[in-house]
Amino acid sequence: MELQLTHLKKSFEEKVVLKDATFTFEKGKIYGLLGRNGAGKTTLFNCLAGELKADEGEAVLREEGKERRLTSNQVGYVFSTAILPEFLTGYEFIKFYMEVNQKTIQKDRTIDAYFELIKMNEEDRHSLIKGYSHGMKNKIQMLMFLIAKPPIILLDEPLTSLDVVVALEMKHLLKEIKKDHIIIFSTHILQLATDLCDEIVALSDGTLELLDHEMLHDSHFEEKLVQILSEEDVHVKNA
Amino acid sequence: MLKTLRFSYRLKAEMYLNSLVYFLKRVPLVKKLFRKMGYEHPKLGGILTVIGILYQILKKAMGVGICAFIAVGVPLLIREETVEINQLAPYFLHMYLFVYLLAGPIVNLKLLEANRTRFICIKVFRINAKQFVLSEYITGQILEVVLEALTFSIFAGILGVSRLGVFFLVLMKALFKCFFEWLDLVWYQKKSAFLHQKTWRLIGIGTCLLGACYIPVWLKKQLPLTMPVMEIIAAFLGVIGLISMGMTWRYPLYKEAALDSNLLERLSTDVQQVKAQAAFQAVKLDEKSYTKEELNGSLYEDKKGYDYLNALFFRRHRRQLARPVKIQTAIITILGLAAIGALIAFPGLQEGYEAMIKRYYLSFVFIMYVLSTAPKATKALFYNCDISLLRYGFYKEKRAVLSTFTSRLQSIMVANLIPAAVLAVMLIVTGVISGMTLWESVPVGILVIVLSIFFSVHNLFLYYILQPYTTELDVKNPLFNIVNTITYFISYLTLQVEGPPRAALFVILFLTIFYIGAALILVYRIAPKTFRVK
Repeated sequence: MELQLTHLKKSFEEKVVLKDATFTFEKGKIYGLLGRNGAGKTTLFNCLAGELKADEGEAVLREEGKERRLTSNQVGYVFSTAILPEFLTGYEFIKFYMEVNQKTIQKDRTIDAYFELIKMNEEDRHSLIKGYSHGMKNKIQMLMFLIAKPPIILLDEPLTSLDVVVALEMKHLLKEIKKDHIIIFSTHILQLATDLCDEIVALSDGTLELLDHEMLHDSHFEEKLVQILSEEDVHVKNA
Repeated sequence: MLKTLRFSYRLKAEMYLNSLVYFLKRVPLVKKLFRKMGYEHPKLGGILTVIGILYQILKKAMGVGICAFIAVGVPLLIREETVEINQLAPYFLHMYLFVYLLAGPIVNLKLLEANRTRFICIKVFRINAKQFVLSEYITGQILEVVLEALTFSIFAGILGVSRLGVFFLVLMKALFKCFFEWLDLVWYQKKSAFLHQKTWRLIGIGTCLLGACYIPVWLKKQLPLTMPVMEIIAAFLGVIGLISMGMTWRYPLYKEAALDSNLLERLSTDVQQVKAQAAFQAVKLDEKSYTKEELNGSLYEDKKGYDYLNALFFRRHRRQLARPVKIQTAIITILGLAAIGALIAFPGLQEGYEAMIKRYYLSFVFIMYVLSTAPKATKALFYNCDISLLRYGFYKEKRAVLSTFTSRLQSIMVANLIPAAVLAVMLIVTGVISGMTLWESVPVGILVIVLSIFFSVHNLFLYYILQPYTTELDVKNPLFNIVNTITYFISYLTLQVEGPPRAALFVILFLTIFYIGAALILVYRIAPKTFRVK
């Protein structure tokens, strides 16, 4: 399975955010999407998740020789701040989620078994989401994708504000599920990207660029990456 | 001081111009023209300062004019119907004394008030606080004196009062204001709090003074004031003001007071935030009121998917949503029973009541529009449910949207039908007691029920098609406001229409059935694109 982006363009009024985003993501890998603030990481994710319509270009999912245009229900989008209906308990929300998606999900686990998977205890799963911590809400969000198993999972800086224990649990979880998905992980924390991701993709000057794999283990990696991401400034100044 | 002033006016003009550009970039049709316009105006330096000053003058002039018209002009116009114009001078002086000389200086404290320009200039640019505050205050007061003198000289001309005398009153009022500004400064020095922020106390004092002003005017028992007497009072107050002015000038804690009164939290808890808070208050979820049994997952086990979500939503929000229904039902029951009692006890009322129902039955269009609790429900649905779930693709699919719509429509209809049914029964019973036949009174009852259904559909339909709320629960969609205004206007117009209830019932029944059908189709077709977080 591959996700092929071809010449994606997106502008807001005069500001061109995605200039020509072309890239192929493969199943079984976690991609770290690195870019400076305002580089267009969230815009790219919004275009892939169907929240925004790209001005030009397309995103296709290629599987077993067949190609189809990417639709929003093939994408699981994990927001940096989990937004969930607070009047429900975690258990009720997952019950609701499983029921409305029953046609597309495999019923291989019970609701409680899913909660065991993310290590959420009985009392917490039967409390209102309103009282959940940031980490607990994030776990519920992750659980949604463990259940629905969308081919593409986009994570918009999800681990940045979690405590060390939950962040580590999430990292393990992502590594466990990556074999069945294309996972794209946006962050501007370099350490997190090199630690968790199989590939690093730089989003700079509105285009996507795969960083050489060898470079990840290079002692000068940080300097080189900063140089790549700073080129955007040079482009802007020369323009 | 002049440099400080010039800077502050330029900053204000820049802020005003930028907000104007921002607004124009969002107005449909016009926005294309302003797409390329930026927020930097380097060539406009000097012009900006002039624009800033002119804008301030214009704004102030309008404020002064409107205030004088409402506070003094309107009561004089009302009095003019019974009193000769040349005898209105004492009324004018009476009102000027209470509203302008006494209430105005107390309620409208300006020296330490928090505003954005002050915050930027004093906190960010570190401009000398005393210089900035005083220069702004003095220029503001000079402008106010000129504008008020011009405005009241028009009054003086009409009422035959000395223009010079009026100018003297305006000047003394400005001086007397310094006394309360000084009081505000001293209050801060002694108590580390601000007098101008004691809103309720100031409103209380202001209300008492306004009462002392207008009640005698209304009763035609105004103080027997003449210009010389007023001048003596004003001069006395002016002297107090003049002494305070000196002390205000020598006040040592301008910097501290300006920094403390311009706290960021105060600036952000301005109108918008208060509005948002007020709106959220009505739809917030009360977490503490649930037992373990309520939350153990066994509730509504028989329901599935969107029905399950909807059942839980209305159960968890029953306190907020059922309250208005209970209050409405209680009020209708009490009024209905009182009407039944009155019609039985005083049979003389029956004929008039029957005629009134027959003539004004269409006013129930307006009444049912006002009684509909659906707007409150849609707000709660948005803030506590849809704002989060609309982030997920599955929730925006056609079937999902239609499913939540129908499920919610049922719940909202039931809630609205409870007071409507009670009202219908009360109308039928009172109608029959008054001598109407069942053939005449039942259609009125059914009309009320159909209207209740109509407005349930209408409000929920608009919510799905236009999704007007922002994350701050403010209404953003101009089309939503327009449609709402038209609905209100049409409902209001029906108060004037006469005609047999049965004919109206058929028209409204047909409209409602048609509306439900159209709403279901449109929600299925259009809402998946329009029903999203903006």
